[in-house]
Amino acid sequence: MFFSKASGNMKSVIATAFASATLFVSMNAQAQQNTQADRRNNQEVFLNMGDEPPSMDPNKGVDSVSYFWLGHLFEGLMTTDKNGNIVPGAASNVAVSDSGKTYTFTIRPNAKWHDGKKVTAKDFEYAFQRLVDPAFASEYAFIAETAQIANAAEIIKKKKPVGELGAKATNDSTFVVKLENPVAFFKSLMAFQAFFPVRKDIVEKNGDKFATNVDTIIGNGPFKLVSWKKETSMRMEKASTYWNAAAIKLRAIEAPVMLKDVGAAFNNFRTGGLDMTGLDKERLETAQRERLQVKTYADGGVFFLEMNQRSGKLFENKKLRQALRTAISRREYISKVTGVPGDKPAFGLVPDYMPGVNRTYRQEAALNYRDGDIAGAKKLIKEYLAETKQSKVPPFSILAGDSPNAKKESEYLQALLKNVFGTDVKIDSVPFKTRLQKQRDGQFDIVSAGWGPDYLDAMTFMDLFMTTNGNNHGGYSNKAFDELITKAQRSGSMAERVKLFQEAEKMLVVTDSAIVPIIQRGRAYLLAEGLQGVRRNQVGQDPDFRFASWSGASAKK
Amino acid sequence: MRLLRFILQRLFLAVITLLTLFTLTFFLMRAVPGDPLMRTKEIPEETRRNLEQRYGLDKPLHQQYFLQLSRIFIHGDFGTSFRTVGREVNDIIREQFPVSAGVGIVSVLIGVTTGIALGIIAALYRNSVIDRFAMFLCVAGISLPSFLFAFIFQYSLAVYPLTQLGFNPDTWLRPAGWGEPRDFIMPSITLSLGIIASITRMLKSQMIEVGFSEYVKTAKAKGVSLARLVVMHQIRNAILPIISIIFPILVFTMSGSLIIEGVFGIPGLGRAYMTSIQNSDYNVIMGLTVFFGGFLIIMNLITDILYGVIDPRIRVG
Repeated sequence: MFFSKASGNMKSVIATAFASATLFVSMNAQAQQNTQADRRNNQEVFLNMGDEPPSMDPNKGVDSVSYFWLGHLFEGLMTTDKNGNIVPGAASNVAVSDSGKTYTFTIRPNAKWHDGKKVTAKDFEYAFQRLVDPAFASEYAFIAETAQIANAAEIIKKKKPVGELGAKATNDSTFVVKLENPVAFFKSLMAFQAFFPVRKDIVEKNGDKFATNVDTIIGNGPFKLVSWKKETSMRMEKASTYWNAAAIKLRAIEAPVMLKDVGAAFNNFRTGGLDMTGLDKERLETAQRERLQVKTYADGGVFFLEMNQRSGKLFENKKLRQALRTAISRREYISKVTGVPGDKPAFGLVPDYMPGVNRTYRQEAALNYRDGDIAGAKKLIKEYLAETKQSKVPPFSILAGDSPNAKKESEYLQALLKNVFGTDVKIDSVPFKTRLQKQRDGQFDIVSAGWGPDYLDAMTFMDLFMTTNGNNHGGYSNKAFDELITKAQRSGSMAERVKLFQEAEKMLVVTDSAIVPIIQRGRAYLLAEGLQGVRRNQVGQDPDFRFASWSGASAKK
Repeated sequence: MRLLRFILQRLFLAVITLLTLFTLTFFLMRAVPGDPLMRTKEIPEETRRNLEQRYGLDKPLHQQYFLQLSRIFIHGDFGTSFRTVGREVNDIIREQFPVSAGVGIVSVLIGVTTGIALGIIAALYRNSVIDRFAMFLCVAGISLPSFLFAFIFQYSLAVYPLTQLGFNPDTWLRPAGWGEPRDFIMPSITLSLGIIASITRMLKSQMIEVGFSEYVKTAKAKGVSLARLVVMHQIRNAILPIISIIFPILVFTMSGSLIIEGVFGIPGLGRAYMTSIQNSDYNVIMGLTVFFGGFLIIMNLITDILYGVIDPRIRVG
């Protein structure tokens, strides 16, 4: 029958609609909205994550909203402490072989799932295999290749069966991972949500419905999911089963709303309906005027201009790319265009927070050059014109998104580049997916692009510009660069890697000027007074509320 | 039975319309740059192939077309979202349409009653304060964007009373959120403004027009009381065209407003539609388009039949 199933739905749909309309008419005042004072006393936090989590399956989630929930509900072999240091999580101990290629994890005897079952090495084996299984097709499968787990790459390419993955449970409490090459940041990868344990029995029982509702999301982390109303609200509460429950002070974390609109969320914060919310530039002034607690953090993203350097394209010419890098003043860009407190200039590709050997990578591998140097840029352009025997630089265009912010950015660049290059600069302002398609197809001269880290190591940025990387939209290709990165991929020594990266980064940004880094993105947000221990992370769950608490909880305000 | 034949005819046409809608949507979606697997971060090639296989996107286009066609029109199954893992489009409709429809019905109730009242008063007391206020509302309601009203209401009805006047957040309105009866109030008022505007304007001009008609003059001449004249002669005839626009307004409002649902955090279909388009979520876009199409067709059919009941001149059977 035509529309058989849908027409049955239709009846119930209309009935419910009328029922909810009547509900309104018979308005009652028995509301139970939780006031901020109540939450303070109960150690509860209300926040807005802006959206429904697209995937609560740890092996599948690839977005920040899902990470936030998963990072509180689950725990990997390793985890982070309240200062962000990598420490043992579901594993109590990890032994590394002398070669640096075998990691033996001992599962904590008191590590438990939220339903009381013991966490075993088999749960990890199952999750790791599931991650690389081509039939399961996780978008994050590549992270197992990054971790260099033996045979992961071949399994993803369907050249070996899933069972041959170098991650095995030798008994219930011992999990052994074999790597192709030593990986300097392997432990920090093991704290990442793609490597969280997953229960085979729950997956098999629920099939496609796994992790789509409260009943099928059973974690092993400090919080357990207690409610999920689609597109409306979510709530998790402290899990008594968690091995380190004594360290957890919050009793509940709830998203009472899922507001994409920053303005609406801001209004909810002002009226005590939320304890934390993001701020945009428009609301920043109001927030400061109302003396709300404004904080900033680096969200991890680095933004840069990518130039199309495929043969035949204008920016195939190195001098022009160098001119672009020299001309832009990062400080001016931040003050005139973005205006978000927390934004920082980016001279290199690797952001300030990436770890090095002892300090941060950036402290150990400084990268500086003069910027905002219009005269210097014009000189390079003159040289280009002389070399190519032209009187004027040919016109070019900037590919950009169609949001108000993107427009403002590209208009600033347009004005600057018109002046510096002495030619006509057009803006190609297109919808999001169109921009992605054009980037992929190489239909642009300059595009404003950005990248957020997948894991806490400089490699997550540096391997982007290898010749074969799918995200290398400008078509940069330099054998020497590729060799340096490949060497770093195979090295287990952080000191050696820092040196390799430094050389490669200088080549990429300064000598070849394949990309022009501009900013390390900052964000402003509002936090309720008295809420402490909230950690903002560039990788993994952000914000991290695991060690947060209300101070002076008993004192009613 | 002429009526039955009429209905059957219309249903047959409905199937043709829906098939055309399906076909156009199917090919237009694929003509737009980008696909469901396109992300800011490029998915590695092998994984992309694995995913395409899993979702059947690796099949030739005509096969995909007929597979989806039979799935929707024979099995009534709209498939699963590409973006939200494991979320079935049928569930999205079942859970989120009633929300949009509920808000829509309440808005129409408020809009129509207020609009009729304002229209009558404005026509009877032309150039009075109420008339001028009503006309101002009409212009504002039609020309100003609804998100502006949404923020004005959020501030004046929730933020200001709660932060400046010390109202109790336990019982008073919250700026945005969903789950309690009071959460209906602000979105419904916001959505009703446009409806009030169109109904007031239309009713006022109809009232004035009817006021000049021969039968009203006759009634006046034979000494009918003013109240009887207005209620029995003027309003009764002026309101007929209003009834004809209420149904289209209702259908339109029930399908959900993406702006209002966004600003007030309402889990309705407008929001789902917006998200699906942003993410090129083929199955959701298709499911919601066909659903809205079907809904519109059915409601139009009902409207046509109802017209016959109200106005015998255009009755079919």
